[in-house]
Amino acid sequence: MAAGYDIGGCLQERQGSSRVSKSGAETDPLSALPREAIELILCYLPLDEVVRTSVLSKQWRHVWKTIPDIIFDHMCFPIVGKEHNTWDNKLNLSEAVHPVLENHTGIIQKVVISHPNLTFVHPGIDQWVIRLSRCPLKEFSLILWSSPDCRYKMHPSLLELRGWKSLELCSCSLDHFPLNFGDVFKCLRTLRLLSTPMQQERFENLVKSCPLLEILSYSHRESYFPTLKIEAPRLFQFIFDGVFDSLCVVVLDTGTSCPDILPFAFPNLTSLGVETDPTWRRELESLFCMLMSFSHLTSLFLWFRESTAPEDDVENPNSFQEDRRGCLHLPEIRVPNVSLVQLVDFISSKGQCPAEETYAGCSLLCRSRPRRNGCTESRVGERIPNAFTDTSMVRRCQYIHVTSWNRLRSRKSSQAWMHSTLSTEASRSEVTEITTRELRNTFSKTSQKSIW
Amino acid sequence: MSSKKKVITLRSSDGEIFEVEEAVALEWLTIKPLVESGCTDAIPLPQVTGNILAKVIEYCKKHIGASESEDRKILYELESWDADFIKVDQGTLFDLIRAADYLTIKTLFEFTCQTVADTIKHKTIEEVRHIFRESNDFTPEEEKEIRGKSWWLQGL
Repeated sequence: MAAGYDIGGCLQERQGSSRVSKSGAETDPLSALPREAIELILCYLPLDEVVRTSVLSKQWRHVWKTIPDIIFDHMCFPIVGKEHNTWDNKLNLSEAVHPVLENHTGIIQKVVISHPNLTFVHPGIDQWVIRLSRCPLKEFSLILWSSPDCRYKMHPSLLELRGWKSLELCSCSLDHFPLNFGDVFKCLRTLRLLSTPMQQERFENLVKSCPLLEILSYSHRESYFPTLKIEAPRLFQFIFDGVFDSLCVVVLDTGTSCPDILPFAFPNLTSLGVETDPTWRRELESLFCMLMSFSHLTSLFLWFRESTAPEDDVENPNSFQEDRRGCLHLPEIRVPNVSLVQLVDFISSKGQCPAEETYAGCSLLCRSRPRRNGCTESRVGERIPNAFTDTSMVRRCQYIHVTSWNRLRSRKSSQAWMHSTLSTEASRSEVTEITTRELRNTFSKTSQKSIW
Repeated sequence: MSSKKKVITLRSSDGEIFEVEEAVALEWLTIKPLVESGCTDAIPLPQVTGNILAKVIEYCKKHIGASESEDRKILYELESWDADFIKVDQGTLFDLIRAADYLTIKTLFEFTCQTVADTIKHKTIEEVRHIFRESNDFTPEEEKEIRGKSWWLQGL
């Protein structure tokens, strides 16, 4: 009997909390579903559809006003062409965002404002930020697509919040912020600053004031940090997207030659994304240095871009080997734990015959000792990089992802590359899967034998 | 004590008796304390009918252990199994949501709510009203006022 009583009590309590009332369908229209279900369903809908529920009936009138996450993006604002990017459009955005923030009566925890048509600094953004600073906001993304000379000057009321978990800003300016951030970001886990330049001292202090920081992204091509030091003991993902020269000075002093290994290690850093020009000597040195230093990397993302190296700093393909070995004394590169390598745009984007040194750079990353690549194919567009002929670096690699295959002239050459890769590298190492985005093909290798 | 897998007995609102493995029942947070306390009586579930409880058990049996799998093949199969599982009429779907809410089965609750959201998406207001069994109880003036408050509601 005692057990029966417990059962009843336990279930009764549950029933009360969920506002389930089977018989009251007529009196409480919302009871078609429990309140929690309605809230969750609204979470899965784009914001415009959420707001639209206010005209369903009187019961629904205010339901939308308590959703915790508010996301203004292309799901609720159709993207319009540039020719439509007129005042009308700006007005619409203001008319949509402002009432939502003003009428919301619940606890807002997450706000995303991100839309390709946000190419201007809207005069209302200040009001939005002030409004949000009165919420226990935890996650905020403000992604503007404005031009570099027209950044949004972030309203300082942002610093009044203390519960930050994630902050993502694009095309904002923080130059007027204090140099020290105190305990504002003591809980911050994710920080992404895109096209949001910061002075070095402020940036260092900002990162330092985030003891729990796990993901750090900084992207601004003109930034110059002579000797940047990043103190983030919990960091496990560091993405620095920009001109690689900036990257090399993120952790190094450009005035001296690149050391073999960094003086401080990031023991928790497992993922690294880098955009690089593989023909630029300084960039390669820095890349090697980082690969040597971040010994716990398991994922490596490389974007290869058009050569922008100054003429006096270009690797001469003809003297590659001697230079590398003779003068720079680069040690063997080993990234023992890497199991994911993503290569993006690693073929020349001009649609011409990819520069041979691009291959050399690519192959450099994958060889224990740099040496010139032995590409002998002569026909334009069908050169096949022997990037993975030496397995020492990617021996443990299980997954290679390559995008922008369309840059290769033909499907044939893409497949030739795959063949080359699989038959040389993959057949000898542990690569089990190579995927490409453009071809929509997945090449899987289930055994040690090549699939061809 | 037998070494066999422990079985929990459940009784639906219409008196049907179901037996599920203990591991499955432990995922149902509402009855978890009872299961843990070693209850051997049939647990009454007065808000869930037999046919719905059968569906719930079917779902949970399929998902136990499989959701955490990292094998893409298993996950892919599970996904297509889910898609077939949820091909039910709207009444049953809502019953499943209520049952998942009542029994506190997080995975099923999220899955069924996501399904409803997918159903609503891109529907007209009139169609959404129908789905939620709502009728428009606004006067034309009231409706006009509400519509005037949001850009998204204008011109619908």
